[in-house]
Amino acid sequence: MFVEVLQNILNPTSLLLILAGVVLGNVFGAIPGLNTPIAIALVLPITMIMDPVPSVCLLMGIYMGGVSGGLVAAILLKIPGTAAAVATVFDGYPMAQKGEGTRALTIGAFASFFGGIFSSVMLLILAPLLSKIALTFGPWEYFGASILALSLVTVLAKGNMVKGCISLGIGLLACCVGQSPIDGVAYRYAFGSAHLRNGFALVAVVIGVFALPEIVNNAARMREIPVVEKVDRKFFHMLDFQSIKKYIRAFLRSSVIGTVIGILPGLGGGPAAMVSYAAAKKASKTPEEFGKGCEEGVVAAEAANNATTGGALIPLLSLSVPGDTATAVMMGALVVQGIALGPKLSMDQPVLFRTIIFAVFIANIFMFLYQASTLGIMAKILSVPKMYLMPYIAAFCITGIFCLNSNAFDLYYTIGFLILGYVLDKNGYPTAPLILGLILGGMVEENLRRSIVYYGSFAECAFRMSVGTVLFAIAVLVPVVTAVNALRHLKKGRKEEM
Amino acid sequence: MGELVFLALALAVCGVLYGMSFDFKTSVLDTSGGAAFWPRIVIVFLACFIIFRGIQVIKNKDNRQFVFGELFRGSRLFFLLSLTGYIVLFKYVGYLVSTMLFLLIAVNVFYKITRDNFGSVRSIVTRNAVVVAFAFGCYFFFAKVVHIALPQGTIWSGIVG
Repeated sequence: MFVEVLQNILNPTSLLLILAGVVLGNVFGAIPGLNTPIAIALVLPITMIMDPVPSVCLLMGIYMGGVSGGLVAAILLKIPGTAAAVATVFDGYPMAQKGEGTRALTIGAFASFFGGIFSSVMLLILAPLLSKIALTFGPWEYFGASILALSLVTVLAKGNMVKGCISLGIGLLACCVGQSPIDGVAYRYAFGSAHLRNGFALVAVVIGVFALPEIVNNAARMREIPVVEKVDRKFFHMLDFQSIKKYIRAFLRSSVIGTVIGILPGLGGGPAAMVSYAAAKKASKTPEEFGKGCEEGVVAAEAANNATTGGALIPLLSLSVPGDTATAVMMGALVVQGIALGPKLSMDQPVLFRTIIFAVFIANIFMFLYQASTLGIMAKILSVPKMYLMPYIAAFCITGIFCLNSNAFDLYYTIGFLILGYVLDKNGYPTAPLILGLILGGMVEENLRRSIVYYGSFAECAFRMSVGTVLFAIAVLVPVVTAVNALRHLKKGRKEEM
Repeated sequence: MGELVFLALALAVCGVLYGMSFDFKTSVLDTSGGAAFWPRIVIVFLACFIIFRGIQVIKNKDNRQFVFGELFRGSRLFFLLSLTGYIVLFKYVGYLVSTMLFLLIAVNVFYKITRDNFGSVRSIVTRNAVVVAFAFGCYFFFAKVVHIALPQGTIWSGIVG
């Protein structure tokens, strides 16, 4: 089996596709306004003609390249290319202002590589383990796991928890459209339309909610031409051994934080980098240096945000629960390929399962080699005018949505989701819960109803001692505890004001 | 105020969808709660949080402006309209013509917005040639390589017969 995996990965086509993915992802990550989910959505129609292995190689390349691409704009422009690179700005940009931009980029590139490889090792160890545990799961356990994922995404997503719950509710409701599971007799909220009988296409909704609002928003910022800090001309920007030795604890700590946060659904690189940055500042002997161009700050942010990639893939591969938005879009692409994600993947298709993990390894290596040798070029890419980019990306998005089902109807409701996504995002309603609600809604409903059929009633399910009950209890308790804490803080704040 | 209107609208939609759930077909063999079971849970969940958010807005006297109108102003409106036009035309004039039209309009208008002019003749020819090449390239790739039945345009089939 190991030989087959190596044959899959180490052939010229796979390696070229991983490299192409890394380059595309890195460019999309670097340019503010574009991101990894958009890049994945764009290549979706192309992956449709590919076999599973090449498409997995391309997707993993984009994912790894995209997350690390954000550091270039964060350091040179003070604009994070992706949400994951927000914390990189804190010390990366001050370093660039002091004339140490190249040093900051070199540290960032190596930290990204370290975080990526660390989380890949974790993926290699934990994904098969979690898959084995998940094989013993019944419908009630699956219900518990998926409801916990939804609960965590609303509590931990940025902004107000109530807004997160509203966003989640919209996603769950959108998932109800179409043929009902289990009984299969009702076409819910189809309004007599044959097109709506299959529900909304996930990719159309993702592009509608995530990609197109960003492009429309950029339409008003076409005049902004960034002033990019200079990068030293050098063939390969490698971090010296002394620096690696000096920051090894920071690399490890940030990678662990990133991997753990990556496993939790809905968080992704942004919060991971922030938590890691805060932890690094707390652990530092010179915390006052943070925010003024401290190298350890860049290490903490970049190692953590890249470590979320392997972490986010663990629940995706073993439970079919995506860890972040990029993996949610990737899930759509893998489903189109006919790859059944979940615990059975490691049993039924062990070669493909390990091929995915090894593709992540190779993508991380390529990402580092590419970044270290093209930092100067990446800096120039930031100056590409958006007036050219945005219309082409929009046209490609529309083509991609049509190609999925060869159905123009998918495009009509995409415009509706564009407006909804724009309004939600601009008013502080997180959109990640909406997407995860749409993805996991079907899984939650199907497993809940199966559990009721199996055990007789919901009360019977809820009061039996099982992993599912524990997961369900945590899912209920987490938002309740968070809400109580928030109320306490609010009351305390009011008292202090008085 | 804007957010309250948004929440009221969302609540009204919840009410309508809840009412519609009573019309779902049911199977006598199904013991899982029926097709309406889950949508009703979701609607009640959503409605509760909408009401809760409404109370939050009223109690906190949240005066932050609700962003909605800016989507329908200036460059954003232009892009939204051109995108909608592209989608509507897709079926009628076909993929190739609608893609070309959308890109020609969007790229040139955005150039004018950004630079305050249309540029030199060479620049105009180059960017429009790239648009045409992109549209043909996409069409060739998806229709001939991927074998996806891209719309040919009902208007042309009507003219040709």
